[in-house]
Amino acid sequence: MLFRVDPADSEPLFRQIAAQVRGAIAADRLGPGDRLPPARQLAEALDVNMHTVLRAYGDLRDEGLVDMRRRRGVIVREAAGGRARVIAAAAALAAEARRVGMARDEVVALLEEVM
Amino acid sequence: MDRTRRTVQDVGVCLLLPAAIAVVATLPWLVAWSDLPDPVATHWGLTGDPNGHASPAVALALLVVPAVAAAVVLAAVAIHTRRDRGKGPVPAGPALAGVLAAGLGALFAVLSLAVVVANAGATSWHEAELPLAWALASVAAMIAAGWAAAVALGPIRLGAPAAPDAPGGPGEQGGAGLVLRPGERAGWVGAGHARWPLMTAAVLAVATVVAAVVTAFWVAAACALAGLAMLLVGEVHVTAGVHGVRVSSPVGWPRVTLPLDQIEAARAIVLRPVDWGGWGYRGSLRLAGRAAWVVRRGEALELRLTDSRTFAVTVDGAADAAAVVNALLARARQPS
Repeated sequence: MLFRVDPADSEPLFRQIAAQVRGAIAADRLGPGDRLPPARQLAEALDVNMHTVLRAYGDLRDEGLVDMRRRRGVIVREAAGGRARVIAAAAALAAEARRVGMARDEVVALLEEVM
Repeated sequence: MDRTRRTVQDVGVCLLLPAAIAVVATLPWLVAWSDLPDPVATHWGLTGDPNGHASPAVALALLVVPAVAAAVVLAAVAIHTRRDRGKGPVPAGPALAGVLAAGLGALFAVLSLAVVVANAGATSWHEAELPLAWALASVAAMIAAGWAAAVALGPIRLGAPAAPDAPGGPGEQGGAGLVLRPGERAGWVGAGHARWPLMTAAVLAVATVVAAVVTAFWVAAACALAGLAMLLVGEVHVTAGVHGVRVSSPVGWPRVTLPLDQIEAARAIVLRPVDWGGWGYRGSLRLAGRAAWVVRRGEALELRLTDSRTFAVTVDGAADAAAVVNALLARARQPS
C-alpha cells in the first residue's frame, strides 16, 4: 500500500497516516480481513517514529475500523467500509461548516434533526 | 569451426551423454543377472564391507529408474534448448534442470554399475565387497557429467531476454503520475504470496505434529525444517521508501537492502520463474550482476541498479512500488 505524508502540513503526521488508511477502507481498496502494513516497516519507509504509526493505528481502532491483535497484526474489521465512509462524510461536514462559519451547536442540532 | 563445435556439443554431450547414462545404468544388470546373489548387497560401510541388502529387482528399480529418468530429462532439455543454444544464452530454468539431470544421472549410473560389479559372482550378499574407490568414482562422474552439460548448454541467461525500452525510457515506466512536493515523503509496503508453498507449509506443519507423536524425532525435525523452508520460499515482504528498497522473508531473514543511491530506475514487469531457474533467491548481485527474489510468476518490481546490475522481486502492486521509487529518485536528483 502506498502512503504519502508531508511534515510541513498543518495536520499532524499520525492524522495524515490514519486518513490515508481510512480513505483506502472507504474506497474498498482495503477490505475486511486485510492486514495493515507492520508499523515498523511503514515507519521505516516514511522515516517517521514507529509510535506515530502506532498512534494512527490506535485512532483507527478507536473508530471501529480495525482490530489490533498481538500476533496477527492490525486487521480491517467486518463492515469497516461503510463506517469509514460515514466518518469521512462527518469530517467533510465539519470542515464545510467551519468554512461557512456555522456554529458547532448549530451543526449538532442539524444532525439530530436529520437522524 | 563454430559449426563443428556446435555439432560436437549437440551430438556428443546432449544426446550421447543421456544414452551413456542409460546404458551404464541398465546394461550391467542384463549381462550379470544370473550371476547375482539374492538378495544383493546394496549398502556398504567405509571399509567396503556390506551392511545392507535388497532383492535384485528392488535394487535395480532404485538405481536404474532414477538414472534413466535423469537421462530422459537431459535429452528433453537438449531438444528443448536447441533453438536457444543456436542463437544465444539458454534460460536458467532448463539449464539448471539439464546440469542437475546430467550430474544425478551419472551418479546413479555409476552406482548402479558398482552394485552389479560388487555382487557379480558372489554366492551371498555378505561376500560382495565394494572398494571406496567406486564411491569416489561415482562422485567424480557426477561432477564431470554436470560440468560437460554446463559447457554444452553454453552461456546461461538469468532473467527475461533483453527487450528494447518502451517509449519514454525506462525511467518513466510505472513511475508516471506520482510527483512529490518538496519535503513530502512517500512510502510503500507490500508483499508477494505464492499459494502452493504456503499450503505445503501448512501440510508439513500438521505432518510435524503427527510425526512427533507417532514416529521418530528426526522425521518430525525434517518436516519442521521443510515447512520452514516452504514458508521462506512462499512469501516475501517489500518496503520502499526514503531508505531505499528492502526485501525480506516473513521472519525478517534473509533480507536484501538496496539504498536509494544504488537505484537508477524502477518499473513493474511480468516475471517468469523459468527465466531464473526456479523459485527462491536466484542469481547473485555480486557475481552475476543480476538477481531476483521469486515466490511466484507474474507481477514483479524490477530495479535497475548502478553498475548496470538489476534486481527483481515478485510482489503484488509492483506498479505503485515502482512509482514511489521513481518519485523519490526524481526528487533526489533535483538540485535543491
